[in-house]
Amino acid sequence: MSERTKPLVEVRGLSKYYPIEEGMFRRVQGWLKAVDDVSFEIHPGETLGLVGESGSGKTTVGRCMLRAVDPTAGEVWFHHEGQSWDMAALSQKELLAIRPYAQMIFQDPYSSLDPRLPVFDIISEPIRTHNMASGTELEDQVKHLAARVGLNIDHLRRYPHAFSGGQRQRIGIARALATQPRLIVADEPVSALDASIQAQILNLLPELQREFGLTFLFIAHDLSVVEYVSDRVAVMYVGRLVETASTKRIFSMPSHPYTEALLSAVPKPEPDQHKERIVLKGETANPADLPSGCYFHPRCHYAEDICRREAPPWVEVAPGHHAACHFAGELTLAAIQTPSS
Amino acid sequence: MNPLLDVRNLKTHFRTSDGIVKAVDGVSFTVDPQETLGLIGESGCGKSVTAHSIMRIVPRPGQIEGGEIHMELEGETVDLADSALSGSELRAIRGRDISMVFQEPMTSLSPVHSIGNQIRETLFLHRTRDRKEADEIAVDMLARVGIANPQQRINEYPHQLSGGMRQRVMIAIALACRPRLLIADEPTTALDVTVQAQILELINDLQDEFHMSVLYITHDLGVIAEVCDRVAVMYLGRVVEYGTVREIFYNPQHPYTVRLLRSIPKLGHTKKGEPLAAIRGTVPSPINQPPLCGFHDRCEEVMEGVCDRHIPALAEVADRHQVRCFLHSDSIQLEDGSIGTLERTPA
Repeated sequence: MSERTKPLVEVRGLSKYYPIEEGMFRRVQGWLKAVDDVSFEIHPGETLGLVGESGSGKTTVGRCMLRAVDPTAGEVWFHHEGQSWDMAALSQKELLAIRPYAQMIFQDPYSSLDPRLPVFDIISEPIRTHNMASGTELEDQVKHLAARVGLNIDHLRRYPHAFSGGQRQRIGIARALATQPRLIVADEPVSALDASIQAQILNLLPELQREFGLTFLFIAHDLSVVEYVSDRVAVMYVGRLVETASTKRIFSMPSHPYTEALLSAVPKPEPDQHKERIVLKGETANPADLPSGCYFHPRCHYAEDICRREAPPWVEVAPGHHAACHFAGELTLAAIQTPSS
Repeated sequence: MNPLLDVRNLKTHFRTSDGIVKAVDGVSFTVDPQETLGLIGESGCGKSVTAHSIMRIVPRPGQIEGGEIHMELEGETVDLADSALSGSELRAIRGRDISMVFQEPMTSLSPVHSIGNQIRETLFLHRTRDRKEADEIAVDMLARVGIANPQQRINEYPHQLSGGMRQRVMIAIALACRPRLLIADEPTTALDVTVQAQILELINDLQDEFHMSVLYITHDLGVIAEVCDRVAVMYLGRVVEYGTVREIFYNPQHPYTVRLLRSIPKLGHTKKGEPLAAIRGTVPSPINQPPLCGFHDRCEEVMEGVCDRHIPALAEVADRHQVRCFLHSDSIQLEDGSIGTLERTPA
C-alpha cells in the first residue's frame, strides 16, 4: 500500500471514557479510559489487524469507528468518492446515509443473529433498511450473496439454529456485505470456530476482499491469525496504541517490549522449538486505576526510572513503524523465527 | 513400569430422544507416571466426555456402556469404570488421587464461598481435620500458584479476582491434596496469551514438584506442542491417531491430523494469500452414527466401499505411533471391539 494513496479511514485522537459512579447520587468518582488518544489510518483495500488482550480497548475502537458507541473525543474521518465525513461528529440522521459503507462482522455467531428471523430476512434486512432493492431484485441479491459466501441457497428459509457455527458466521458475513460496504470492522470473526472451520472462513475473507474491494479492520487476539490476514498490525495495551508497523516488520522486528512478550507467549505448534518464553509478571493494568508514566512499566523487563515518571512519546522507529516506548529502537527484542531468518 | 492410568475400549453413550450419541466410542490410551498426555480434537469429538468418564461425572443421560479405566492407587489397581464402585469410594479418589481443572474458572468456583473455604473443603475431606493445619496448607498452596498476599486473599471471594487469578485458585484447589493425576480440561482457553503463558509454566513447574501426571485436553495445537509428551487425536468419539508429540507433529499419518496441522496459520510461516488447508464440510451429527470411519465424508483420500463401510482399527505405523485409517492398515474394528481383516474386492 503506497503512502501516497488517500486513506479510507483516518482516526485522530480517538478516546472513549466511561464514568465510574459511586454513592447514592451516582457521583462521578473517576473515569475508566477504555480508549485513550488512539490515532491510525487504514488505506483502501488494506487489512489492518488490531491486536491486544481482553480489556485493551480494541473492540471499543471498532465500535467507536462505526458509531455503535459515541466516542468521548477525537475524529473518525471516512473518505469516499471525493467526499469526507467525520463519523464522530455526524448526527444520527446523517449517519444513516453513511452506514451502508461501513459494516461489522461479530465474534459470536450464536448471539449476533436474530433467532426469530429466517436467514433470508437476516441477510436482506440491511438492503431493505436502506431501500437499496426490493422484490425479485432483492431476492436475486440475497441469493447471490448467500451463494458467494458458501451457503446453500435452498436453506434460506431456515432459522439460524439449524446452522452450524461456521455457517452462521457465513450468514453474518453475507449480511455485512449486503449493502456493498467499503469498510468492514471484523471483531474476532474466527475465534469462536474450530480450527478446520476457522481455516474455511480465513480463506473466504481475502477472496471477498479482492472481489468486493473491501477494507478491513480485523480485531483479534490470536496473533497467528492476525499475521495471516493483515497488511499492517496495530497493538493496543490498556486503551493505548503501543506499536504499529507492517505485518512483516512487527513480527520480525518488534520495537515495543509488550509486542515482544505477546509474540513470545503464543504457543507454537513446533515441539522441537522449545525456546525460552518471556513470561510477564503480574497482570494487565486496571484501566480504572492506571499506573504512572508508561502503563506497561510494572510488567516490563526493561523498565527504568523514566518509564515510571513519564508517558512515552510516539516514536517513528522506521518509515511506517511507530512505537510508544522511551527506548524504542534502542532495545534488542526477540522476534518470531521465520524459515528465512 | 506400569502406566498410572490405563483406559481400555471406553464407551460412553448418551441415549437421547433423537437417538444414541456415542460421544466416546472405544477409546483406549495410557498415561505413564509423570507424563503429560494431550487429548486434542474439535468441539464434539468426545475429549471432555472422556475426562468426565474418568472422573465419573458424566451428566445424564450419558452412561459408561463399556470398557475399563484402570488407575494405579498405592500398589493396587482400581477400575474406575466399574459400576460397582460406590459413591463414597469414588469421592475418596476424586480430589485425592485425581483432580480436575475446568475451562471456565468463573462458573467452576462457588461465588458464595471464600477462596479459603473452597480450598479447605478438599483438605478436610482428604488430608486433615485440623482447621489451623488446613489454613496453613491453603496459604502455602496459594503462594505456590503465584498469588501475592495469600493470607489476605484467602478471605476473598472469586468475584474479587481476575480470570487468571481464579484459574490459579482452581489449580491450588486441585493440587491441594497432591493428586497423582491432574485432568486439565482447556484450562487456558478463556485466558489471554500472556496469562496463558503464566499458567502453562505453573502447571509444568508443579508437575515436576509434585511428580504428577497430567491429562491435558485442548483444541489448541500450539499448547499441545508445548506441554505434552504424547498425544491422542480424537475425532467423532474415537482416537484416530496416537503417538509421541514429535511423531504427531512431524510425521502425522491420519488424513485428519495432516489437514488439521496444515489448517492453522503458523506465526512466521504462513504467507498472506496462501490458502490454508481447510477441511471441507463440517463434523457430521453424532446421532446414530453408522459403523464407518467418521472422517470419510470430509477426507480427500476416501476409498469408496471401504471407508464408508467399516470402522478402521488402530494399527501401529511406527514405534509408539498408532493410526486408525485404512490407508495404513487393513484391520477392521468390529462391533464387539475385536479386530477383523478387511477383504478388498478388486475394483
